[in-house]
Amino acid sequence: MNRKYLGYLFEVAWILPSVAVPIAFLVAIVITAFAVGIAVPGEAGRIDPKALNTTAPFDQPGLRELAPGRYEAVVIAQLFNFSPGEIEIPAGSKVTFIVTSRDVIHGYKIEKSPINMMVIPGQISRMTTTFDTPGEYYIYCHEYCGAGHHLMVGKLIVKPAQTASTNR
Amino acid sequence: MHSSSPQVSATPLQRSARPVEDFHPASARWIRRVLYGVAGMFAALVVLILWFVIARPVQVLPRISQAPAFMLTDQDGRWVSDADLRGSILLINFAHTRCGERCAAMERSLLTVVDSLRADGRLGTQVRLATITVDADGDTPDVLRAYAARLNVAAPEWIFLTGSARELKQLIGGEYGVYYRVNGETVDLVDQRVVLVDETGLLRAEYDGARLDPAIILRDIGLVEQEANSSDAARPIYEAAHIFVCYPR
Repeated sequence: MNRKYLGYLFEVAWILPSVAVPIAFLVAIVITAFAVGIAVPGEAGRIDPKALNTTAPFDQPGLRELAPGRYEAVVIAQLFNFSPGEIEIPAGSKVTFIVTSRDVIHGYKIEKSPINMMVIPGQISRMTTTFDTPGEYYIYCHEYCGAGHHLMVGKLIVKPAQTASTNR
Repeated sequence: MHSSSPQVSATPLQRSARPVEDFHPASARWIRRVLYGVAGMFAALVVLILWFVIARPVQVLPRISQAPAFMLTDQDGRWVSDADLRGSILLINFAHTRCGERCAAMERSLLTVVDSLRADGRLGTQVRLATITVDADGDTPDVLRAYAARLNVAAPEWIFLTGSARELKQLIGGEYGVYYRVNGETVDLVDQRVVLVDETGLLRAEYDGARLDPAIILRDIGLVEQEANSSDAARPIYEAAHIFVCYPR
């Protein structure tokens, strides 16, 4: 026991917590996953992926005009496409994307927009944005989902505001 | 460091035998005790947080967003704004009087909630209901008053609101995100939605009207009341419940 031992104690004082903290996190995750069951908080974000065909709003996937200039796109991601695959809106529209997966984990990314979501079976992903610039935007699945992952592409068409049709 | 004094080639044994002036066994023991204390407190904190999150002794409803503002006409022809309804917990549903069998389940569930609240004497004071119609042309204040009479409810406890088609579409569709279609005479209420707004005007819960469980609504109203009536000392605990998303399962 000497001065070096005191130094050793101070080192231990830093090293032990840096080991203990990740272990505590791991224990917390394991307990919440197996003893409690991790789930999205609240019921609004959860869905039974096997019952999509009978659960609103996914029983009728598609674009819905909630109010003038305000849309809601209900999308199901599945191997290897999006339903609906093509969405058409007038420029200046504010669109909420409500997306869930029927099978495995997918992604939902619209190019040149902030829409970038993970799509997890059993959970509902929501994101809202406004599309001001007319054009065609690709929608990608950007979470590897299987052999046809590279074919999983959709399209968002933003039409100039005047000629836009408000179909569906 | 030995290169400067090659004649002193001390073995580890000799070195440890060297006198050390500032060595105090007591201070080493003291530091070790502090270390154990800190580790124990850390472990206790982790256990406490885990217990709080898993057992959820305090449950809250999420603060989803600010409830949208409106200015509509009630069944007695009075202007009613969202601000007029602050101070009591508000259960809002979106329907129309000609909905009939399609909305019957939602109507029955709400009436069950009303009966239970009325029995406790909470209806009309702590909790109020509002139905906002989606049918601007069909549901005039007179039609709504007749409908309220049929349900055997009156103005302060359950109000029925209407407005112009454009106002209603902006509020119900645009703000609340409830989808419905009006085609002349036919009104298609695609989404049946019931929402819970707390006494400060925050949206706290949304329910599917077609599969409404009166027990869950009463539970949620109770949680909002409990949080609203909590003492200042209990505030941090409720805030912690919000941070740790201690929502009812």
